[in-house]
Amino acid sequence: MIADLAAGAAAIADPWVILFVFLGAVIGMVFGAAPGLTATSAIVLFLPVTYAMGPTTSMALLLGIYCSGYFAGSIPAILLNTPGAPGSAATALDGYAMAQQGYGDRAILTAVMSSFVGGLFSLLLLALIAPSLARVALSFTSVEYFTFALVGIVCVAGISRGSMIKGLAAAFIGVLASTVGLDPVSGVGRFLFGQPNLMGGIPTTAALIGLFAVAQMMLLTAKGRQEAEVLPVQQTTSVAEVLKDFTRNKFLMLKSAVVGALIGILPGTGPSIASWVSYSDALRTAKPGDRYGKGEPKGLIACEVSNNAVTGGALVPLLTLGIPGDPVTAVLIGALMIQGFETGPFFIPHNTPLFYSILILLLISNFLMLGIGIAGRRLAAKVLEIPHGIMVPTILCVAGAGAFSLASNPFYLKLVIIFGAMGYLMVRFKIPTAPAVLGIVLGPILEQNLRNALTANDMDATVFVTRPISAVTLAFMCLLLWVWLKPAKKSDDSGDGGGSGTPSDAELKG
Amino acid sequence: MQLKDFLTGAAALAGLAIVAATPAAAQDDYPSQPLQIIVPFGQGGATDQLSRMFAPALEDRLGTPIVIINQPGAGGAVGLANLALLEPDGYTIGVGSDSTLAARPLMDSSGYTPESFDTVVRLVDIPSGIAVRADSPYETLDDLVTALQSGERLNWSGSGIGSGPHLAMAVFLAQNDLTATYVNSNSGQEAMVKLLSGEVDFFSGGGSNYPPMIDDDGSSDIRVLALAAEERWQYLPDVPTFTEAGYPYLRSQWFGFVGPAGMPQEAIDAITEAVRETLEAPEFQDRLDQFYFNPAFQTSEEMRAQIAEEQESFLPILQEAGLAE
Repeated sequence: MIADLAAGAAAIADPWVILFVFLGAVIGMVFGAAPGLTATSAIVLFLPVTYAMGPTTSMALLLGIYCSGYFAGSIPAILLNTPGAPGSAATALDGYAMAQQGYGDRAILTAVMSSFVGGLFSLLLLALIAPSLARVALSFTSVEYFTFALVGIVCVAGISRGSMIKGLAAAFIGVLASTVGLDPVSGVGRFLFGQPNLMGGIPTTAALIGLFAVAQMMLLTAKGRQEAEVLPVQQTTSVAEVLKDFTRNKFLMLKSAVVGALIGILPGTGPSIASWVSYSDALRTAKPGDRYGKGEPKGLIACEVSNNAVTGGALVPLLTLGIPGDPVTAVLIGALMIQGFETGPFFIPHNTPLFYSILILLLISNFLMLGIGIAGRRLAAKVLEIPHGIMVPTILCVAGAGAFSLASNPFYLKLVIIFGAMGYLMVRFKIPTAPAVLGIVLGPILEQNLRNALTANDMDATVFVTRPISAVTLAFMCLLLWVWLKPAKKSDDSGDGGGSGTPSDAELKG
Repeated sequence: MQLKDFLTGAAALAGLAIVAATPAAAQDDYPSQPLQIIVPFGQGGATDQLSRMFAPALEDRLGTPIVIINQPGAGGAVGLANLALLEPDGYTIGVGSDSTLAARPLMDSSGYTPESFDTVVRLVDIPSGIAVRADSPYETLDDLVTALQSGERLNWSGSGIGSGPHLAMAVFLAQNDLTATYVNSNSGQEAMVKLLSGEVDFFSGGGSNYPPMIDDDGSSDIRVLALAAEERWQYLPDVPTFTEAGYPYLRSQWFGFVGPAGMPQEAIDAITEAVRETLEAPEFQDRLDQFYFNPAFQTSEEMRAQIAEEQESFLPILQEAGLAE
């Protein structure tokens, strides 16, 4: 173990690796801060750049983007009331209220430091449970994988309670798209329309570029430039002051970190869900005198600790089961595959030094996020001023190049255009696009494992309740459904959530 | 307003709709321009590593740069279907295998037939093998076959429907009148996970799956029962061949170059000669060892015959499984 740790550390002690983790942190900061661009789209766009790099350098760049991208969305959320990423939608509630009162600087500092705490907590969790979970995972069969993926789909449905039907509809659009290609069990072609390029199915990354990057660019083009409201002169705040807030709210931070990390572990969820769950929990336990929705730092702490705690959590199922915990990790599967690593129960035992490298890189990325966030918080706001006339064509070109380079196949450009148009229409009709992407990822996992589980057990469906892990997972799923459906009735009584307090479709896009 | 918004958005898309055109080339002494190799699998896989291993050696011998293009999808079928549509100018070839060239065209909707290609030269092969968990009651291939004959219901897995390992085992079972339930996996590694988790009772996979699973001291979580080669395999000398185990059966997964049908003979000859020299070079053997490949040179005609022979043995299996007509 010490030898592996040393090997992992040695792989990182390379100026290129350090340079790329730094570059990643800067890129993540820029993409996270620019409205419409998310950590997910940054990772998608920069994935082709990693093809020629070694595994450690590739992970350095992508994990750098991952950590700071998840935080940076809160900068425009606080200063412009425009969440840079869907995971920061809840942050906007108290953050923008603080900025309107002249406490914007304090809000950003609180956000970056909370993100750091959340990130570190989840990293610890990943380091502690992933290696042992990987050993347990070797006893999982198709029965268990099916129930895990089912929990993922239920999470998507359960959390989009504002428009559960639309969330489910989006997830099923994704599942439907995932049935294109050769049937994974019998090898028969489905929905090919005489196009051999569709035999391989619809690549998640092409769908992702279309649904997120292209659709957002179309929206920006359609919307034109929004004028920012004029904020009062902002007071500056010291780090010490924010630390005092933290010591007063130790329990809230711990709770939010646990919630974030656990939601990260659940396949199919992401930072948006984590931040809303933590925020609504903070609301439920509000004390008299708390001013949630009107500029309460505790609201910021709950959201930001939680949405960055997703990072380490989401890597747990990725590295141990090969099932992505959130949309970014779905892209990371591809990144690792390009380097010749297959994610799954063998990943950690066979590539222990790389696993330690990933842990150390996450640690570095969190520190870089903290440093860059504190030092560059005023500069980051400048990204918001890039004219759309420059940003939109640039992003579209990069997106097109990214889609082509996935498989050197011009056909994927057509797919990106189709999915871009589809994503644009979905957003226009207020159908969230994130569940669609998760549907594409989870669809094949659901289908194959259901069919395999039944084939291997003589078509006996009771295996799903007679195998203990699967039974517990299904029970947990029912519990989740109960927990998520119950507060939906109550939420009318707790009216202090602020104007846009109900999770609608916007926050599901992360 | 809505329509206008939509049109502006759609206009933004136009920036994407630029498709690269491949310049047509004039023909003189072959090779007069760079050679493209289409690898129908992603970066990092066995096929990709094989191609990247051959590329520098062939560059030296042909005296022209080689560009590797990865075009993955559908177990190699997407890249080959696109290759079949290209100009047969002798400067674009692809990597095919037993499953993609012989089996896939027999199945539903492949987008090509073996006649869509000119076979160029076969490169390497890996013997098929069969393994069980180390704690399995089946000590030998004979134990396993006897159990299946006595009507025991066993599950097995391999790296995907219609893949080499799947077909290899299906042909063996059919030849010996055995039935077992196939559980699908997307890769050899996924199938290995199913073997270790107990979901399946035996595993079919190319030889290269096994050496990494065996520790230096010889202990392992799996037991390799037999390999379908003529002689014992150099990388696992303790494992008997199927013939030694009492079941005469030969089957390997192989890889070879193909090009769009109608390639100039001159190009086929030049590439074949370069591959022959490469495979004969002793220093190249060391590189093959890293990925457990055996050199398996075949000329264009021999490779064509090999495909026809395998199609004959695959067809009844695929028909039985409802995968071919």
